[in-house]
Amino acid sequence: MTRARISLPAGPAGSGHTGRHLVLLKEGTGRAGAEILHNATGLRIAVSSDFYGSLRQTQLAPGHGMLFERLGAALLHSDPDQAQALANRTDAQTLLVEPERYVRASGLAVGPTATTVPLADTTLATWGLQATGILSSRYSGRGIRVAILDTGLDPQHPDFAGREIVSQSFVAGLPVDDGNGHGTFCAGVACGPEQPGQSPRYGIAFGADLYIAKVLDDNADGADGNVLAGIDWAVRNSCAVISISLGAPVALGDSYPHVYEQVAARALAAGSLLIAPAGNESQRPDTIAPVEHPANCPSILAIGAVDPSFAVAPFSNGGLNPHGGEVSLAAPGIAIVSAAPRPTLYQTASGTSMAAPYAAGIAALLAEANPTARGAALQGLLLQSFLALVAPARDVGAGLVQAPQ
Amino acid sequence: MARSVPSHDPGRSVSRVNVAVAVAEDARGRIYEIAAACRALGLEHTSTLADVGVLTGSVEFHDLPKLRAIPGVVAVELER
Repeated sequence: MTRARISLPAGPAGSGHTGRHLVLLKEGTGRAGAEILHNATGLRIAVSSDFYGSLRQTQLAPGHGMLFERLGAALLHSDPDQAQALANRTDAQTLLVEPERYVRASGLAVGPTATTVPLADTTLATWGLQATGILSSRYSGRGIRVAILDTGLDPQHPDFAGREIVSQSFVAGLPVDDGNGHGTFCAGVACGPEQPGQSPRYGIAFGADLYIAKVLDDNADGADGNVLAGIDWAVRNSCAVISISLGAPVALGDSYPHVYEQVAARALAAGSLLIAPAGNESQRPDTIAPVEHPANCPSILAIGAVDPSFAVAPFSNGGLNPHGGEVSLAAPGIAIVSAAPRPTLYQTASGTSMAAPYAAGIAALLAEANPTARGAALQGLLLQSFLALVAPARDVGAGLVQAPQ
Repeated sequence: MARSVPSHDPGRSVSRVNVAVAVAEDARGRIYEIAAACRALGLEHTSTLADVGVLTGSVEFHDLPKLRAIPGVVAVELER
């Protein structure tokens, strides 16, 4: 992989930058990244997994850094000279150094933590789009290929008229048409139109090219083989983002599936980012279930769900298993409006399946905004695009995913 | 939430399982050769996912260790 060379903006004042810097490390660097960064900058580097469950990213003091070893990335509270020194390094261990940005839900009366007044759908847009800063984003995912691996799509839905749609069914005997509704819903959230015919805006990457893989039948059931075939197809078609709103429960202590992890790692290396739901097996506050398969793979992002008050959805699974079983980010997942196959046209649903396409749509916006960031680099950018929440990292990861502005 | 569940084929032997076979990174150039070796050891081969280095198909449960022993195969897992 080539290293991006950039001249770093200096200060936080009015620039939209926090003054801190994010560093992407070479894949597999692991804990060794702490020493590499210390030697390069002189900063004191802590490792995030040592603080698991209690880490508050905002508490990083000047002169300190935090290595997120699972992500191969670090956040440095460095001065501009230290960061520039790192950006100028010629070795292959640091791939990218970027200023950390402030992210916020524009136009909303919400602080940097959580809202006490629940958001609501308006005539303009759903609450989920408001919460994630979509309306003020200047990006639409134009030219970015987004794959939706699901129950298919109603290609005649009026909200998808005129869109670039490539489709393929991996379910024997069934066309790509969506006889269930789950796939049309997820495609609607990730890539729905800027101005729907008969609904407030509900979709994110309205400029993206849709790659629809039907990997689940019309009961929304499927086997791993179909899903793996869909991922292979999406990678071959150079999809920068692959949203897979499906999964199967795992037990506490279960490891991730090695075949899926290998596939996800190769997809990342080929420039395709995989995003999956954390799962809906929890019954909070009594029971929290672990992040499900395949979101529990280290190379696949796991998305949890929050409600219009930014509280964790009662069904949303938590980061209980180590080595990939963490929640990466949260996204709106309760009372979500999106597209439905004709003649219904629109439906409301809740679930982490609804949350994952939010992250996928925002990943497409980031991919448009950062044309050279693909695969692990795009993953790193998405993981730094969040609004911090009061809820614990176990349930919401870094925080509520936010669109680039 | 959509589910990923086992697929059942009526009339098929109950001990026959659907599998995904992962090919090692350094053996991906030989994936078709490895597929042939898997077929010779009992894999009913349904697809070759060359871009991600995976073979899918079905096999008798007791033949799983044979597939795992093929040079270039790093993992054989049952489909969910």
